[in-house]
Amino acid sequence: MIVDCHTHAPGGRSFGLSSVPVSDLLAAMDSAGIDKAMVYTSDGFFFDFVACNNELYAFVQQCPERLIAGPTVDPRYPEAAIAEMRRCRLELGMKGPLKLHPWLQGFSPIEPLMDPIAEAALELGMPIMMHDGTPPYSTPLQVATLAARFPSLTVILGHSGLRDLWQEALAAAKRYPNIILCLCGTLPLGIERIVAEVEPHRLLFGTDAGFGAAPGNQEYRLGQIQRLAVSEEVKALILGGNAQRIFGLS
Amino acid sequence: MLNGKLLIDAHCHVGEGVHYRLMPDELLRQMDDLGIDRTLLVPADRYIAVDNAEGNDFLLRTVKRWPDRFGGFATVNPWYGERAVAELRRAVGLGLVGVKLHPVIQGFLLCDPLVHPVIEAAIELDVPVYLHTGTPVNALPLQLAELAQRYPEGRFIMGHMGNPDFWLDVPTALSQAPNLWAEISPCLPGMVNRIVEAGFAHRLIFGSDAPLTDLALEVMKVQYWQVSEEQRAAIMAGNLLRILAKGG
Repeated sequence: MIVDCHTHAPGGRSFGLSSVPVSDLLAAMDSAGIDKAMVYTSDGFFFDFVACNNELYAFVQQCPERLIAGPTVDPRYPEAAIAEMRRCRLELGMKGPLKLHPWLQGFSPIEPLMDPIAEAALELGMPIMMHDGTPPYSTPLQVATLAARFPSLTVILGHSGLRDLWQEALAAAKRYPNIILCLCGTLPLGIERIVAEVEPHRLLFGTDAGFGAAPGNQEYRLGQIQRLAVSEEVKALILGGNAQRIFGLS
Repeated sequence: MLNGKLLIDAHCHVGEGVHYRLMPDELLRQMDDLGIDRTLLVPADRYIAVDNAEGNDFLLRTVKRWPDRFGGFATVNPWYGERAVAELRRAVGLGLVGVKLHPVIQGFLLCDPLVHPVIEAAIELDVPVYLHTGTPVNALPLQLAELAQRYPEGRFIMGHMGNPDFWLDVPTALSQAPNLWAEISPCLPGMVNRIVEAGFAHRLIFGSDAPLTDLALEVMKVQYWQVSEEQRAAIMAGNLLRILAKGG
């Protein structure tokens, strides 16, 4: 099973993006050979996160066997954020990680405001995925401070350093065993090195589809994993097996 | 040829680097398999940083051996000052066709006046200047547009088109400086579509950035661009050929 662990589909009111209909995302997944996708908001990083999580929920409910939601919250409002995490996880049954985007949301992972959010995530068994690879608030080692403060929390680097900071993501993963790396937009040279040096059960695959759902986007990033010179077992873990285990997917 | 169209890779690193290695004979095999007619070579990482002449000499030997398949962009570190200018004159005099600068690896702000002597030499030699972009804080599209506006007689290539995070800046930068083109590795097809929709198909250039990328996957994306066949041919080769032409 191939699981795309990083897509942003509904909404699109920012940066000249546009909303991607469920049918378009599913067609793109079919074309690329992707079975399931973890879906996150993009509008929710800027606008009312409860409303955006509702929009996300309605989106994935159109194809719940293939689309899995991961909600977002604004950690600057801890009470509302924790209540929303509980609602999304326990009432709406969202199995995806809490998706945070520090530089778009305007906070640093180092700030103490993340502590109550991390504690709630631990209690709910909810991994936290953060955008990474971008200064000034989303470098891999900044996100890694959260993993250091909460060694039982699963912290996912959403881009494994993107183009320029994959070496930092690799260092973070080696230092903190509770860090998971999502290979999504990582420099291909970096993907090779990360796969060679990090235990295979700690790697995920994502495409960022939705931040541009054009034909070929998912094929390109899926190809970056499929063409790696590693065993089929390792590829199967990166492409789906780990996601099934980490997020409890059937 | 790829689907009947000329395909030129505008940016590929060769040589024995610290972080990667790609030798010309291996690259030629890949080019033959993938339908790449010609490749513009640039040196590998450490040659960009310090051993400029060594890297340029490797390119010169490669280009001389396979002149129908390869061209080369010299690199010089602007911190070497007059020595950088002299090395650029030497390398272009011996047959290289442009200069590649990397503000991050070479350690300068893209629009620092430090780089001006190299730019002025490139203009005098009538060769284009390729600059890596997309890495904050010192290698950004608008910094390049600033430099390009200061030298309207120069021809500039925005390496990687601001990838990954500066795509919003690209149309603005291209609008500010009509003497600026964008090389698209490793951008997603959707990003190419977006810049084409903004009206800049005639300013985009195919490049791979191999071996930091997978050459086959960079070529695969060509078929996915949502552009006219005329635009596809221009991005695959035509736009680059115009920039390389003397007086272009």
